[in-house]
Amino acid sequence: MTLLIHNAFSSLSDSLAQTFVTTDISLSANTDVNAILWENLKRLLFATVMSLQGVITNLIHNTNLRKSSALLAQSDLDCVDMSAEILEILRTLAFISARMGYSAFDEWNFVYLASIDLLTASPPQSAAFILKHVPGIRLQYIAYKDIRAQHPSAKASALYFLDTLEHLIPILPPETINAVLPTLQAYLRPRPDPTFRAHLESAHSVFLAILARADILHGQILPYLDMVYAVRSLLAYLT
Amino acid sequence: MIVSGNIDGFLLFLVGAMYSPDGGFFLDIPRMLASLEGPSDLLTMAQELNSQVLQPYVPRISNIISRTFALVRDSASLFLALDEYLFPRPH
Repeated sequence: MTLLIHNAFSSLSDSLAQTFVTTDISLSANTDVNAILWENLKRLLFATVMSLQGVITNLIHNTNLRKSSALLAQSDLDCVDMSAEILEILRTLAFISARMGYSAFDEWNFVYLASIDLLTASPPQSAAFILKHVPGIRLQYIAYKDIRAQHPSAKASALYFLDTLEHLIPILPPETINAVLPTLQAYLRPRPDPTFRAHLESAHSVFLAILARADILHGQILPYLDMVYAVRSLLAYLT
Repeated sequence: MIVSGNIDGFLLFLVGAMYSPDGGFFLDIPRMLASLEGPSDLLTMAQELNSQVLQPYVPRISNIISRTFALVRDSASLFLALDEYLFPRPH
C-alpha cells in the first residue's frame, strides 16, 4: 500500500507535486483539498510507524533471545531481511516524513535507527540496499535523467538515501563507497536552489563519514576542502 | 482468533484491514492523489475519509497492530504482514 501511494505521488507532474508539498497545511484544512490530503497522509505515516514499532520490538527481543540461547543462523537472516524491508517502507513514505521533518517524530527515529542498527549486522545486505537506491538511476517506475531530479518525490528519496548512507558508511565495503561516489559528488556541489540545502548538508556529512573511516579516499581531502570553501562562498552569496 | 490464541492470524487480519490495496483504510489515497491532476470534487471524499475512518480508528488499530507485532514468534507471518505495506516480494 505504501508503494502504491508513493507511486501515485511520484506520478504527479513536477509543478503539481511542488504545489502539493508547499501547501500550508496549518491554514485551510477545512476548505483546501491539499491540506486535508496531507492530514490523511500524516495519519498513514503515523499508523505505519506505530505498527513498525511492534516489528522492531519483536526483532530486538528475538535478537536478545538468540544471544542467550544460540538459535539458528536463519533467524539472523530474517532479522536483516526484515530491517531492510522496514527501511524500504520508510523510504516509500519519505516524501511525507521529509515534509514533516524527520526529527519531529520520536517513533520514526526509533524505527529508522533501530532498523539501520539491525541491517549493519550484514555488510553485504547493507551494500545491496544502498546500491538499489542510488538516486538518478530510476525511481520505481519513473526514470530521471538528472541525478538531482526536481520532482519532490525524487528529492525526498535522495535525501533519505544520503541520510541512510551516512549511517551505513562505517560498515560498507570500499567498492560500494566508490560506486556511489559520483552521485555523492553531484550533491556535494552547491546549487542556488534552496530546496537542495538539506541534500548539500547531508552529502557533506556522508563525505566526512567516509574520511573518518581513514581507509579510502586519502587523495580527496584537498579537493574536498576546495569544495567546502566553494559552499561557504555560495551560501554567503545566497544569504 | 484471539480466544483460540491465533496471534499470527489476528495480526494478518488487522494489517489487511488497514493496509490492503483491495479494501484497506488507505485504499482511496492513491486515487485521490492521481485525481489532483484533473478537475474533481475530492474535498468531501478526503474529509470523510479523515473524519469517519482515519481519525476515529487509526490510532487504536495501529496501537493494537504494534502490540500484536511484538507478540508474533513466526517470522513468516511477520514477512507476510510487512508485504501488506508494500507490493509482495519475490521469494
